[in-house]
Amino acid sequence: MKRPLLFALLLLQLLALMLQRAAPTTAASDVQITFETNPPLDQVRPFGGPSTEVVPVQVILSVRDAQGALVPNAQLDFKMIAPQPNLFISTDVPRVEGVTLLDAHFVTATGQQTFTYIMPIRGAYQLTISASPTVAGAFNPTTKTLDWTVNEKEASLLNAGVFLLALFAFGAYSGYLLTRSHLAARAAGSVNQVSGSGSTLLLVVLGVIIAGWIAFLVFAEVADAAATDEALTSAQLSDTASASSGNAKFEFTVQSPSALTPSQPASFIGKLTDANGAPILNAQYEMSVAIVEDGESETVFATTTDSVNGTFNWTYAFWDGIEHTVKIVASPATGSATQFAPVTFEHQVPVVALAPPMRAKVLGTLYLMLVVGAGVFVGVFIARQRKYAGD
Amino acid sequence: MTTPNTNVNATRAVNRAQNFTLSLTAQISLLLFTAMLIIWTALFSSYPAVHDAVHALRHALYLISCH
Repeated sequence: MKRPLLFALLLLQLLALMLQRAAPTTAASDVQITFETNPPLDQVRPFGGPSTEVVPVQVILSVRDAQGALVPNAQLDFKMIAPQPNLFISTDVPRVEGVTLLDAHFVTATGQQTFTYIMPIRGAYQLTISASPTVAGAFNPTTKTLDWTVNEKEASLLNAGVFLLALFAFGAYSGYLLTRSHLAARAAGSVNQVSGSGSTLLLVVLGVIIAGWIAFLVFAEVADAAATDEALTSAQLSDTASASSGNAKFEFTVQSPSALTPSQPASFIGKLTDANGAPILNAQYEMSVAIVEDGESETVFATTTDSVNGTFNWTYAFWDGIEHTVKIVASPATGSATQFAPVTFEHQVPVVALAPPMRAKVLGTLYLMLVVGAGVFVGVFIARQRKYAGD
Repeated sequence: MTTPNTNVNATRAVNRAQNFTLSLTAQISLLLFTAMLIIWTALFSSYPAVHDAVHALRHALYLISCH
């Protein structure tokens, strides 16, 4: 009788073990990712050249539990893709459209990560944010995807409206004047005597000027294309530099499959080693990227993040075709076993500028000429109406 | 030595050129073409001197592509 009892007990234990595996009492909890910005999302505006006063937006990523409390010790992977190209209208930096701007892997002890960034263009950015625990099993990894629409600056829209109105007015006034003088000359029956042979001479002179002008524009386009080709050919595809402090050495590498341009994201790699070349774990990196234009430096990206293994390997797109300054300060993370004096690193990264695609230039010219043409049409119409009305 | 026929043809050609130059269609075409050249040069040309002079304006006009 004892043997069946023992067998039953073993069976019960096995069943209990199976049930425990199916629904563990210490199950990892679900978390949620929150994405906020300062200023708020709808008030963020894109970069618009050196004359505009656009401050970097502060992005705040948080990992929170069901009660809304921050979940500590998390890795946050943040990927941001620039707005996709539009076939009919491009932004002011068309080369960056559709490009992966940032693919960063932050580690945060508090559960909240911030960074500042200047959005290069208007449109809908595609964001993918993933959260996973740095301590295995602390919570269930999760991913959030969203589109973030950045609206154009109000000043740009206003400027464009005024500019288009001015083009229309120019066309209308020119069309009106030409038509009025033409109709007046015809009414006087003196079309052929107005300028005599001088008109032909004028036509020839204008033809020569326009031909020279076109030749100059073609020359400028060809020269620019040649200069860009030369810059692309001579540009380094991998650039490594380092800095040291005491026994700690920080090494930074920027590399890409082709020359760095606004449309070619780069690998953004850093590692920290000791005097023997062994990796230093648990480091904190304070990093910033600034563009240098007209002698002024403007920070376009900045953050502070931890690294469990002492390295980082991110994707970063230098979206402006000018020189960038990368500054990184490496120091021990809170509670790190290895202590060292902070290593400060600064490096210049040249980025080859690219002219806009010919499609964007031709379309832009076409749209503006349509406005001028519409103005001319209206001007001609008004002149004819006034003439026939006996004005 | 020119023949009378040649002179007549030349005169006709000159007259035609004058009529074309003074026609409204030709003048408006010339106006539009010149406007197009100015717009391209100022807002879309890659020539460094022009680009640098109007760089901020290009970025501030919504429709204009810069770099």
